Amino acid sequence: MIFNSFAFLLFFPLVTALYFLFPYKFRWSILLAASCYFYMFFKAVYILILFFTIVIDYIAGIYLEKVTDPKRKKALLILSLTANIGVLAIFKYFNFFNSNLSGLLSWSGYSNPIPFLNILLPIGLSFHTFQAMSYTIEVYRGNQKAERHFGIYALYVMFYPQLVAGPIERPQNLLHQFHEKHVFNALYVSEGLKRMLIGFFKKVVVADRLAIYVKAVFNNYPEHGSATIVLATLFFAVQIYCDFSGYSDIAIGSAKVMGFNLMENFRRPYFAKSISEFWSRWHISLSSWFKDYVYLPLGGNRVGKGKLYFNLFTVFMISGLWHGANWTFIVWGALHGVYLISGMITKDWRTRLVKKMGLENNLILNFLNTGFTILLVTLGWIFFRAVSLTQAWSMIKGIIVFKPGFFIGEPSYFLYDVIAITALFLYEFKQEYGLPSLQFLHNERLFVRMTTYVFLVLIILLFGVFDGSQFIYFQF
Amino acid sequence: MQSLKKINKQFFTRLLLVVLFCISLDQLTGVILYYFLSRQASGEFAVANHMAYRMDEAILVLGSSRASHHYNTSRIKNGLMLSCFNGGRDGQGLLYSTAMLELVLQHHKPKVVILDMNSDALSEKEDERDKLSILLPYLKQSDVIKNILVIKGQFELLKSFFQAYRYNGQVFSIIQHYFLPSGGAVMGFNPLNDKMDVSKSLNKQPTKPYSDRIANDNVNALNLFINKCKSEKIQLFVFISPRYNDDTHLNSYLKIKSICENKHVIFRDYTNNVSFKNPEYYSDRAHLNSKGADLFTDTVIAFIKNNRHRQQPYIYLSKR
Repeated sequence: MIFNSFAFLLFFPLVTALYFLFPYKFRWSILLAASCYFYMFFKAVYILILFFTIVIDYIAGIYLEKVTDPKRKKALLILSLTANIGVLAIFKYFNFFNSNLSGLLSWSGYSNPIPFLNILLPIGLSFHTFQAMSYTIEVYRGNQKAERHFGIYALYVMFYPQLVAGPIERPQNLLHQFHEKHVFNALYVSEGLKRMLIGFFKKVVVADRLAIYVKAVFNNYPEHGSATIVLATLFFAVQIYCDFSGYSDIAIGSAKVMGFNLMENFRRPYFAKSISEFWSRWHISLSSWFKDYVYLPLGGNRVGKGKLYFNLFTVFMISGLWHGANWTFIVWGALHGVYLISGMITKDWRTRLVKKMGLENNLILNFLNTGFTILLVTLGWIFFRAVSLTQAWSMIKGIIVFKPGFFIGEPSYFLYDVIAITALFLYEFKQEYGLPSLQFLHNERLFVRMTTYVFLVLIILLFGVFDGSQFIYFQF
Repeated sequence: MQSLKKINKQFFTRLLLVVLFCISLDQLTGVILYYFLSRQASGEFAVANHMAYRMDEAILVLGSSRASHHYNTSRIKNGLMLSCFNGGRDGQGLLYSTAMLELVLQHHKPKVVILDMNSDALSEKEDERDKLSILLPYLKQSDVIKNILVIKGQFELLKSFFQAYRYNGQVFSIIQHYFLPSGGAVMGFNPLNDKMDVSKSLNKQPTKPYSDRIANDNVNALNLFINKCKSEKIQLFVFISPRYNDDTHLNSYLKIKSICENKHVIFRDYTNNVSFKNPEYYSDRAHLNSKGADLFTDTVIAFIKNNRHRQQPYIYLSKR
């Protein structure tokens, strides 16, 4: 089931009502049954994959706590991680590596005897696999007690608000919440519903509207002029942000309604003044996952410069591969690795220059830094959105080698796009700088708040796109 | 605990107020937008409104953008001495045409209907169902519209309870054509005045291969369309108008042909007609410009004149 479907509008209030109406001891089963139904809406049989990893990790967790011998403990952890990564390897990466092997063998004059798998990628596989892995790692490290209640552990992996596109939770934050008794709290419900409303606005009014223009240009890029490609890429930058952060808002909001607190996943990333700041604001749950479970175990900042750069680059390459089994994602990840390393190498030099020029905390400098960060990130999005490296390169060439012509598409749709981006910018600006004059959803006056809710609903109905388009990050 | 109860009670009261406020504003928006929509002076809704409420012409042309750009209504009127209205609409397919025929038949029976089809009219298309939203403002007019809208999605009729949803994505266009009407279309005919750049068109390859799988909804719509014309004793002509290059979807094409044959409907395919292979007649590969449209309309007039009252099928196949 997708959040922007009518089915979810029926599902959500029903599940929430059942959750609060049933006695406390049955609530986990209500949520688990609802989560199974939510997941099975996509492809029912794939719930068996989830069940497989849940059983393995549940048992591994208990034994990881029981076993005292470090070697056996490590072996158990490796077994659990192998099962999780194995599922990812088969369903997500097998055909990718096999097709690369075929290319390599055919280049050397051989043919590949390994057949391709005719399987669909289970929705949100990378998200729940990573969440499951964080559980076993934390139990192994002794930061989390093993969960004895199988249903509650299953719910930790399958909790429907964040099941298919995160935020990728840590057991320390989420697991204990399933043991707590949540009473109906109007303040939480109100906050949650507001958050969901913002999420729906971002997804159906901004992201899916922009997607019409972006799709028209990216699917037919050789026909378009340089300015059009630049605009489509900028639109995609906004589209992917609103698509994914919109999902996170709905996930966080719908969990909040039931009294659960999920971690924040975005903090206005396009206000970042550097790439490293961008990554502390973008997909926070994944960035921190890679930091805690890959970057720090590799040595973190306590290694020599050469090793540090190598580690950073490796982490970003893996992050790229996490997003999808395609060279475009790997190049996207590598590009961000290069950005970050270049930023680190030139940091001292830049700081000295800024000091010398007396531009510390200068508003214009901050503005230029933000602009430059957006430029670099947007360049990366070309690789993320393109279906192949050839397409990405052709589009970059299409920008550099000037080609005249400007495509607007349906003029009224273009106008919607511009208005939607302006509204989003004002909202984000208000959030970033906490401007009270732009407070609408949290205004002190009840009338202003209510009018804002009603107008947001009306805007969503009038300008939203309701073609049931999926969230971009579902494919990961 | 007491205060939490009080807060919760207050919350439900306010929630109820918001819901009532939402419903009222939604209904009001629906009334205002319907007012503007039903008085459109130009644009595609003006064409649809004409068919839904005012049409009294003897000949009705239906189809996609190719119908809208290819059939010159004033030439048809002069050539056949019968008034004609062109109800073709950009980006729409058979489902839309079937719905529009139904809307016309609610209040008027044309003598002749020309259905312009693409060879891929019966093929599955990714976004064809989504485009049916355009019928939402006419939902009340007929059960056929309801049945067609259900194809879009099982919850479509529930969603249409929201008045604002019925005008989703159309607000600016409706306001624009009410306050700033633009001329151009004569009785629905919307000629294209530019000329095709042959060098660009020859090199152009579709970036995405498209499906030639038959969509049952489209087959049902074609059958319904034909049956409706037969039961109302309207003479139906099914044409595939010219294209600069052949873009045939074989499965769909053969199915159209076989349905027309089986139901004894006059069908003529002009895709590869040599008279229309001159690039001067085209605006792009799929659309004739006004010069091409005039020539094509004259050809159609001559054909209809010869077959106006014939009962037996006349099938001319230019391809296979």
